[in-house]
Amino acid sequence: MAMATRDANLKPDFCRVLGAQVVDQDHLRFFIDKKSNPTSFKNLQPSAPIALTTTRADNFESYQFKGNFVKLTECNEQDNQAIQTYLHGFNEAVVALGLGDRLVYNYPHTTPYALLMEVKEIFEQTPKPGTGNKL
Amino acid sequence: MEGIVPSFIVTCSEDGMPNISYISQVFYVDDQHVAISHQFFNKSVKNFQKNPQVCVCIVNPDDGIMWKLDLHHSHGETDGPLFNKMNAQLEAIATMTGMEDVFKLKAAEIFTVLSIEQVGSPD
Repeated sequence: MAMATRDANLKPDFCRVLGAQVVDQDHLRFFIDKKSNPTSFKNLQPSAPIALTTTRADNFESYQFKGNFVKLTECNEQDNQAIQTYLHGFNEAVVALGLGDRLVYNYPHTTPYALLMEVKEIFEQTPKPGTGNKL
Repeated sequence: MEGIVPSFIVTCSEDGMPNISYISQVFYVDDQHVAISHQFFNKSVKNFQKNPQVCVCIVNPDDGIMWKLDLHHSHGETDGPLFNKMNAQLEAIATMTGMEDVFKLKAAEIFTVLSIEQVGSPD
């Protein structure tokens, strides 16, 4: 999973996402690391447009969510546990595909924050001819 | 870059909406350029044709270290030696991932590399 932001000059930036939760029909909450993503954090101005992509490692089923940044909060114990659960599952999935064990634990995650996103649009992104349709 | 771990391309439309997509390969062209295989990222292409500023993230499959590339779109190629090399590599990636009937190269999009930075350090 990963997030896209941009600055005032429309220069885009990438940020790895460390797990996500559905809050309600219009909101997602996901985790990002602050120390390793200074540009992305700077881009998170009030109501900034952002995009989130997610894919299943085993079959490439993918979706992109577009919307606006709402707020950031420091992760609590429950959030940190959710991040560890995500990394554990991700690790199992990529090891099954032949990648090294614990490789995904090298994604920086010691200064995590929870980002609340208001979702406006969802797009299919599974790699196949004709992909990109709005759901 | 060779597609063992998928990379990401991040672009932004003229009206300010970011877009992020997985990409199969980031191909080394020379010391100042990389190429990205255009298969499905139609929105990304529309974006960088108007706003050539692009961010790509690649992942080292040996250690999980991520690298961010700050790029500027130059042009696309639909034939020639570079296209053919990328097509061959893409076919190998497709075979490895079971996507032989899906991964087809439409164009090799060439970018100038403005900067490269490591994303954080392993915890």
